[in-house]
Amino acid sequence: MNIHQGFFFPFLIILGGLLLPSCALDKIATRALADTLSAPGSNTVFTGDDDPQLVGDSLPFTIKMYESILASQPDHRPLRTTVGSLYVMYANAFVATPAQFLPEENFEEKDRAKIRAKNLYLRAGNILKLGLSQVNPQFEASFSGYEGALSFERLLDTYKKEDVSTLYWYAAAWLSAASLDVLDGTLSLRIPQVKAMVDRAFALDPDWQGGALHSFLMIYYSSMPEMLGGSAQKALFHYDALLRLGKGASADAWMARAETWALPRQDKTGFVDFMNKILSLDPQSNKDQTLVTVLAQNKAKYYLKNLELLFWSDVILEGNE
Amino acid sequence: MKIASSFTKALSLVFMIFIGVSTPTLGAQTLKVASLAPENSEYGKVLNRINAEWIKLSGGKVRMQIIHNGAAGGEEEVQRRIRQGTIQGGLFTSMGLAKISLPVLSLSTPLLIRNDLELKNVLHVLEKELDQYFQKEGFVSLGFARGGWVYLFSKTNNWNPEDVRQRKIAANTSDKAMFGTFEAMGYRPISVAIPDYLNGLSSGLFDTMIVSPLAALQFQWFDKANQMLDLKVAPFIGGILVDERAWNRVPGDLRPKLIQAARTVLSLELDPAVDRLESTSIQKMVENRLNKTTPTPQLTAAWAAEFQVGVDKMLATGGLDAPSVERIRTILKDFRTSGEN
Repeated sequence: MNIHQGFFFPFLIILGGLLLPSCALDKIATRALADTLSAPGSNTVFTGDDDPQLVGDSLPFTIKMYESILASQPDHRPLRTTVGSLYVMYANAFVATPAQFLPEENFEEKDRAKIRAKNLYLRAGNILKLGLSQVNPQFEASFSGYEGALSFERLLDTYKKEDVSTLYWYAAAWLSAASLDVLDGTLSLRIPQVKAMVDRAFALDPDWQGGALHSFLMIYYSSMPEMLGGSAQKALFHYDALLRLGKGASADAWMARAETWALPRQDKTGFVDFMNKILSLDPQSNKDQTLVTVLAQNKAKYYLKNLELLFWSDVILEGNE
Repeated sequence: MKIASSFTKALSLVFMIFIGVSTPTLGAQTLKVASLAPENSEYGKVLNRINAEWIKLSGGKVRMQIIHNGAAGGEEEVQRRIRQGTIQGGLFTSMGLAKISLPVLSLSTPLLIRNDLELKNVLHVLEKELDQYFQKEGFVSLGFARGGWVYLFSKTNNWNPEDVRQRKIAANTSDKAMFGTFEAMGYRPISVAIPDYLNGLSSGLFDTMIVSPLAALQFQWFDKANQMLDLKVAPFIGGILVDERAWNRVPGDLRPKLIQAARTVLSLELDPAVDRLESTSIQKMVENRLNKTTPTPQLTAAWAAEFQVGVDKMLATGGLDAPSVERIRTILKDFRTSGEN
């Protein structure tokens, strides 16, 4: 390349920039980037990582970067779902969960973390709601039960298989926020609608993402009181399905079963068995699941170390003899 | 969306809908305290705050292990465990407190106490007497707080006592003051367990109920019974009790400080939270097609007269504790004449 060519090509680009409307050029670039970032199989750098701290430290920047691209491509639904889902994941794995393990004397810090996590879930919900409204503009009116709005059941019929991801993440954001502030009437009032969204997603694609909907429903049925739809039988059905999909080994299924089933029943033997199963997994054996397995193993180690505190019914605490 | 797909698993791993799992650190003196309330609610938060205050005040010598979410069973089960010594305390509702000491239920006598100012005053004046009621039964009270009010909800918007008398009213049999008063008034209260309310309303087993706005919203009962009479029928309270045997093992110099800390948190945090929860619950339900009727002075007077008949019969038959009702009446009379009300 001679010196003229070296100057010529940048010059053409700059000139092109002057001739084309600048925002259109920007949209072409950001659309391409948005497609790349939200494309299936585009990124295993997070999920295949075995260092949760590194992932947790990186995610805020990643989220804000994705969000800035979304700002210039607001109609890009897959990117919108990705941004919403990342907020939910970050809030859950790196804000709410670490707070759970702080000592109880750090009440203020725990409380602040829960409030922050709730706000992040709500932020995710707002982002995802727009995506659902892009599919059907009546979403908000119907979800909120406004007078004269389309019935929610009929509205959900308009969502198809390609919308399962957005339905799932919206429901996850909503219920996660509700779980951190159980008596928040605004959130608890719409739990039946949120559950209906998950049911619709399940009807469209029951084994979506290797059993994410089974996981969700297993936890839902285990955690909710019977009067609000809880069901031990249904929880077990989804647990079995998860194990089937995970070929018998599933860190998240075991952890969820231990936390929502064995622990409330004070079944110490069953709980310990689940923790040991989780610890026996090789995080590297399934690259997609490395981070998930490491997170579960960290939690399992914590639980096993603090077992006597979780199982209060069979110990006489020091000083109380 | 690879990140999303794999993190979906991570989410489910840690995502707990209504269950919080937290683990305390054991200290030299740990009191296991059970609560029906979810950890991530105003009630759970207040217990956690008291615990944090205790740890600071005692330099880590005294702490609670709080068993949230009703994991230790219902109120009767918790009381059984306390007597066995496997648990040392609990956060109880009026119903649970009344199982230990019946006079507490006198506070929930229908239309005896009329508003929050009156209730605050009564609780303030009765503080030592309430402590003594429970001390007689082997408990130390860490403090009491207002729990809110129960109101009438119905499928029908006609609130004259004569009309309501014809309806099928659900009441909790544990609430002896309320259930008994309605029976004594000649109404037809139906004993319904809380988990059966929604089905009972749907099936027509009953059409009217006396419940708190918070419960009506959270369990979505108001969707089936969307008429509410804005008349505070009766208050309920909450209280934290600890087994006296366990409490006596806490260093003597710390005990008054720990009780004071608990009472301060209850008063500064739970009291306003209860007010907020009740008002926002009503507001949310109104936004969602609840029809709230403000009673006229005549209607309020008619209900007061109606309840008076029932309460008098309950007092005559021993269904209510006459000395404590009389004591509350005296306190209220003084308060009302003082002009502070």
